[in-house]
This record gives sequence, C-alpha cells and structure tokens, in this order.
Amino acid sequence: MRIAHISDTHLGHRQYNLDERESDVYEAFEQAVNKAIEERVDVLIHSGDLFDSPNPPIKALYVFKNVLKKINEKMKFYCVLGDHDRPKRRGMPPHKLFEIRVLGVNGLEWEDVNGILIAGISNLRGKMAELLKDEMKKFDSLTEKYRKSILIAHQAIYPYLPFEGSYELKEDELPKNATYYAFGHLHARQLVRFGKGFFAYAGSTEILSKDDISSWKKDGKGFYIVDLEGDEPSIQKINLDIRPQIEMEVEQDKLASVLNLDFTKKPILHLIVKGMKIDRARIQEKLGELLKDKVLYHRIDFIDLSKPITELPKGQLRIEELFKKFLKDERLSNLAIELLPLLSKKDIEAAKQVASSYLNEELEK
Amino acid sequence: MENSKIGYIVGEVNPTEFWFAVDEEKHPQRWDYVIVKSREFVDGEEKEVYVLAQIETIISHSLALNNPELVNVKAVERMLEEKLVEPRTLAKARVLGFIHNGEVFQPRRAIYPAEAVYLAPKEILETFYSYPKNESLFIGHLITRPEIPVFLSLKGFRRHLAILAQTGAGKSYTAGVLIEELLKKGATIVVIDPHADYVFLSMTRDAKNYSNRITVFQTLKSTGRYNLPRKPEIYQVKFSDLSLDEIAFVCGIEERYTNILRSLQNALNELKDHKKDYSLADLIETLKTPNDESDAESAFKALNYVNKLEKMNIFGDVTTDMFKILKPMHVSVMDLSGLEDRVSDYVTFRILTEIYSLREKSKFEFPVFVFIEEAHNFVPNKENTLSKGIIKRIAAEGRKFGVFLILITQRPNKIDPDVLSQCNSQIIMRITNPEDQKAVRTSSERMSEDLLKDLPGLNIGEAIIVGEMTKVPVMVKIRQRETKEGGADIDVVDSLQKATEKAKEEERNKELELKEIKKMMQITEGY
Repeated sequence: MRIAHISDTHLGHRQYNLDERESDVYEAFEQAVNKAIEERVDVLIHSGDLFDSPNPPIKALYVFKNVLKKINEKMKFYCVLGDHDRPKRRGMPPHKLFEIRVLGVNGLEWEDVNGILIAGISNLRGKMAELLKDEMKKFDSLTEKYRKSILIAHQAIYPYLPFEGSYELKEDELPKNATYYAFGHLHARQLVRFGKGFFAYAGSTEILSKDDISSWKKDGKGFYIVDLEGDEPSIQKINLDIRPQIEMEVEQDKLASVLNLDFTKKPILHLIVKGMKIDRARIQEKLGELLKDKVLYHRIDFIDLSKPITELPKGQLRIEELFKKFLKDERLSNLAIELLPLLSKKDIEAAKQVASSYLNEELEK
Repeated sequence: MENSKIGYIVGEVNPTEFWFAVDEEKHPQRWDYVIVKSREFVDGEEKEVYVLAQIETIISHSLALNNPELVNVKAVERMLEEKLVEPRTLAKARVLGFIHNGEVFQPRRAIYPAEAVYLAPKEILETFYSYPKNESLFIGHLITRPEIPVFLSLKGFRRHLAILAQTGAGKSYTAGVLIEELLKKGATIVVIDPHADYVFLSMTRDAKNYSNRITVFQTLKSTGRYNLPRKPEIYQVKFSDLSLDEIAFVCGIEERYTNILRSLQNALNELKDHKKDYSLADLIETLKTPNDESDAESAFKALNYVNKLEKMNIFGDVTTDMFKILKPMHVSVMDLSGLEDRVSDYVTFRILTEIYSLREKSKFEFPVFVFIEEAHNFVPNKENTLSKGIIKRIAAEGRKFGVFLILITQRPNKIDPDVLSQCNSQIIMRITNPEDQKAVRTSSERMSEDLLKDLPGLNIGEAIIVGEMTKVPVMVKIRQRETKEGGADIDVVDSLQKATEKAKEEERNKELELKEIKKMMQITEGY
C-alpha cells in the first residue's frame, strides 16, 4: 500500500491580501493531489490545517470540492483537524460540508485499512492538550494486532519546536510502535527515524510567510509518499513547483543589481536595502520601476547604516512588555494592548469606545 | 505435686544433665522447666533440695519401628492393629541449679535414676528469675511459661552488656526496655543513636510523656524528622576546641600528607596567636591567605579538606555542656542520623572521652550507662576509628570508674572481639548468620553449644540471656515497652498517608479537568 502524506495546505490563505497568492495556495494543493494520483497512491493522508481558518472563503470550499472529486475516484482520504481549521467558538468545521473521514475530533480514532492501522487525533491545544498524553497512550496497544501502523496528528513536538509553551508533547511522550508518524503543524519538512519507523512533518505546500523561505530553499515544498509494501517503509519526497520567494540584500546605490535575479514565474521579492542616509521614497520609486511586471510583489526593509543598529532582545518578544517599556505607564500600555487588535482590524468604532472610556476613567480621578 | 509428675529419670545421670522417661499423657514442651528431688550439701549439711532443669531434647521411638529399612506401611498398619507400636518418649534435661537462700548453686551429686520428674511449679521458677526489688530489672516473661516474670539483676551491670541480634529481631526494642528499667532505678544514661531509633523514648505508649527525664540531642542539621513534645536540644562543638589531630581525622587528612598537615598547623598557630575563639570561617580565611608563599600550594590543598567541615554542621559557637547530657535519672539520646560516618564517629569519640574523664576525675558523681547502637561501626573488628580507642578503654577499665557499656549490634562478627568478650552479660536474640553465631560462641563462655543451636529458632522479641545479670541462662520473651519505639519511621507512615491523599486529590482534579476538557472539545460540532 502506498500512502501520500500531505499537510498544512491552508486553503483560503491570502498572503499580502493578493488574489494571486490565494490562487497559488489552491494551485499548490491541486498540484499535490495530481502528483499523488500520478504516483498511484492508495491513501491520501492530510495531517491538519486543510483550510486556513474555520471559516474559509467560499472559493476555498469550492476548490476543495472539485479536488475531492478527483481524490475520491482514485484514493481513500483521511484527515485530522489542525489548529487553524478547528473552530474556536461553538460551531462546525468546514470539513463537515464534505463526505470525508475526519479522525480524532474527540480523542484518538482509528480504522483498519487493508490490514494497516490508521489512527489519528485532531489538534488539541491549550488546556485540551492535557488529554493528548492519555490519548497517545492508547496507540501502542492498538498496534499489537497490526504489522504496520500510521499515526496522524497535528501538534508541535519538542524538540522540533523547542520553545517553552510552544509544544504540547515531548518526543518521548509519543507512542513508540508506529511505522509512520504523519504529523502536521510545522511548515518546514522533517523526516527522522523514530522508534520502529519514521517520524515526519510533511510541511506546508506553499510558502505562507517569509519564515518558510529558508526551509523551502533547503528542502523544497511538497509531500511524502510512503510505500508500506516492504519490511521497512520506503519514503519518497515529492516536490511541488511553486512561486519562488527571494530574499536579497542590496546597497542603496547598486539597486540595479536586482535585475540579475531569475524572474520566471514572477517571484515575490523580500528586499533589504542598506546605506547611509537613505531616501526611502526615492528608492521605493526606483525599485518600483525596475521590478515592474517582473515580480508579483516586492517589499522593502531598510537598514540605515548611519544609525546605530538596535539589537532585538533574544527570546520571545512580549508585546505587553514592549508597550510598558516604551510608554512607561502601566495604564497607558494596557490601553495600547486593548487598542492594538481593534486598530489592526480597522475597527475604528470599537477603538473610539475603548479610548473614550479610558479618558472618562482618567478624568474621574 | 503428684499432678505435675511427668516422668522418671532413666539411664545414666550426671550432675549437669539427665534423661527421663516421659509420661505419654503429660508430654511436656521443649524448653519447659522441670524439677527433681535430690540431696546436696549446703553449708556443710546434707539437705533435700529441688534441682531445676530445662528440657533440651524430646525424642520418641518404638522398638518395633526402630529399623526404618525393615518396615513398610502394611507392617506399620498391622502393628497398629495388634497394638505393638508401644512408643517410648524420652526427654533430656539440662540442670540449671538449685536455690538456697536466694542463691543458685550447681549440684555436685548425681541425681538418682527412677527419681520422679515434675513440671517446675510457679513459685520455684519465680525465685529463680527474680531478685530483691531494688536491684531487679523487669525484662519479660519465660517463653514457655508466660505467667512467670523474668527479672535481671542490676548488679550484673558491674560489667558490660552486649545485645546481639540480626536486624528485625528486636534489639532496639529490648534496649528500650532496659533503658526504661534503668531509668526507674535512677540511672544516668546516654544513647548513641545513629539512626534516630530512640527518639520516641520520651513518649509513653498512651502518649503521656515523661520528657523531663529524656532529652534528645540533635546536631545543627540533623535529618531526623519527628514531632516530640519537647524540642530537641542541639549538640554542637566549638570549633576552636578541636585539636589539629581531630581536625585532620574529621576531614580525612591522612598522616602521610605532612605538607598539608603543616599548613594546617601553621594556620591554627596563627589563629591562636590572634584570638581565642576562632571559628571555622576564620580557619578557611587564614588558609586562603597563607603568610608564606612556599606554603601556598599545600594551604590550598588543606583548604579542600577543611571546606568539607562546613557541611558537617556540628561546629557552632559553643561546645554543648556535658552536664546538660549527664544528669541523674535521665536519658540523653544523641541523634546522629544523617551525619557522615566520620562525623558520628567523632561525636561519639568526643562524648565518650568526656564521660570517661568526668568519671575518672569524679566530677560527675553517678555511674553512667552508655548504650551504643550499631556498635560494629564504632568498634569494628578490622578498621580503625577514632572512637575505637576510648570504647576499648572503657570496656577494659570503665567498670572501675562506673562507666558501663551496652553494645548493640546486628553483626557480632564485625565487632572487635576483645570488646565483645568484655561484655560479661549478653542478650542474644535470633541470629541465623553462621559467622555471627561463631562470634557469639567465642565471645561467651556461658553460651553452650546447645543454646547456640536454638538461636535461629527464636521468634521476634525472644531472647536468650546469659551472664552476670541472671542466675541461670534464661529464655525470655521481652516485655512490652512502656515508651514508644521506633524513630523516623513513624513519620513515614504519616507522610505516606499524605502522599496517598495527594495522589487521590490529583486524581479527582484530573477527573474534573477531563470533564472540563471534554466540554471544551464539544465546541467542535458535528463529530
């Protein structure tokens, strides 16, 4: 039996609010499914974050509906809910619209697929993650009757996500007997030997943020095909052809050097312009001209060498502390924290209300 | 008396043992006591006396069945039918002595065959195992006759005593009984207690306390955790009271490290020149800044050793006054739990030396009874310890000055044999290790081969007592203690209970949490 392990497709994600980027995400998913069909895969496993949100745009649902038709003709499909598409308030996940098998919404669930155990658990985060260890413990005893088994989950595992509070399980809290651990959540691909088989994060199918670029350059984006016919699972890495994203540093007086880049497939360009006393408007304009019609999108960061470089504090940044440090007043920083999400959503009315109630409180004193 | 006749003496008889034919109807138990009439010379006069003896062996046989190779089941059955079995039961008794005017004498004459043998009556046994009230210590009851109390003689403490038993046989319990009895007689008692086994002496079973008679001393950071009605006192030693040799011993500087010892001596001399009451911190400071450059390296090495002393927690600003420890009609329990071996050795050495010198110079007017638990660690057979010298000295000469040792050990084999043989009385409990049995045999001329064979057969709390404390060797079931036994293990029970409660609470919390989580998960509808 051959299995395709795909993950983190984030249908409906819209980078830089661009229609093209939304389409890129759909195309990456379609491409992956087509390749899986070409590879004559029997089972398609999706390890979570099929959709980018619990309320995806209609287009995302429509794309999935069409792709699912193709999948159902050729393969069995199993998935779990990810942290992005599991409802955050009472409600149904988008998956409910389709006749698909979603595993482990309320705890570990499993099926016998041609003599192979396929078990899965949907994402549990925050307090719910405490259930995870107990549920995971069920897996090993299930495997006793099976020669091959697959565990599907969408969780962060230490040491792949090493920061305190960012992972829900440690490696040694994982079951030990799975032939293949089909995991999702991390966007960078991982494949390591673990226990009696392999542990894998399939990674995202597209570059969804600037942070994904370095792992894409190193390992590509795509999915895994797992062949369970032999004694040992054999694993094949399938890469997708997606829109490139390029990071580049240029000096402010050598802007033309950007023209040396490869512009086939209209990449997204992340530029860092360095120099003394930078005239930002002029550079924005110049680069705009140079890159016109060559890239889908470009964004520019400036490093002014005449100013001392402010070092970012190491470790996790806490916005509350930054506000407090900058405003030097606890109540003001609380106000800022309240306003931040409202203003970033452009919810001016709500922001006005918050601000006026703050002022009233201050005046009463 | 006719009623208690159980047989007649048969076979050859000598003054120390005899066989007797046993009346089948009144088959006695092994170790029970019997008496026979005899005539002995006492005070130059021939008198009728009752000789007490203890049954050592009982055998039963049948002439018809004596050759096992000649009988089979059918033959036995036939003989049973024809009533041919005719079992004969014989018992061997070991003579303990006879009493005249409260003293025990050994018979010099043989007892005659066909003399009637009676079960020993209560009154005779009681006179054998009791003493005038002012010198008797109530230790327990005869194993075979629980109604007969057994007393030991205080006079037996003119020599030292050993309590020997394997772990769990009840030696600390027995020592506790002795302490209670000695205390009632007004004794001054010091207990060297390496495992905090005696700290509850201050509490009676019904939780009344006579804590004004008992003081527990701990070191500054004793590990013993227990609740006592009265807070333990602190035992500490002023650092400047230590000699160079003592410091070297306690921190383990060997004699051959002459350079280190010299640095240490220099530092001590320097300190003594400047002030009288220097502390450990002062010594460390002085070693850090040696006057002489050439001394720097060995001073640094000495520092490594001396630093260890800081963790020992027995060095304080003052040395605990010995007169706080030595009081008439009082027990001081030195709780050494949690101390390194070297340190408990040092504390024991220090206390024993002081006691000895106070008694030798008659500065403390009453005799002192020193109980040493785990004595094999302080007077080991092979190695040397700091306290070994003083213990040997007390063992050899202590009785002259009224310092009496009660050595308690589960490894008689590991203890210095000279010291053990100075213990004229012994309370021996269950011992199964043959090496230890051998050590017991060589240490005591009173311990007969036959008694030795019985050692593994003793139950918990049963003891054989031999020596000057008792008129004749006695097998006794130690009485119940009036004080609470045990040490920190009482706390273990309590803390395990707490652990159970905590675990159960965590379980309950987890159940509640799971319910909450299940509820949270229900927000995903449709599955």
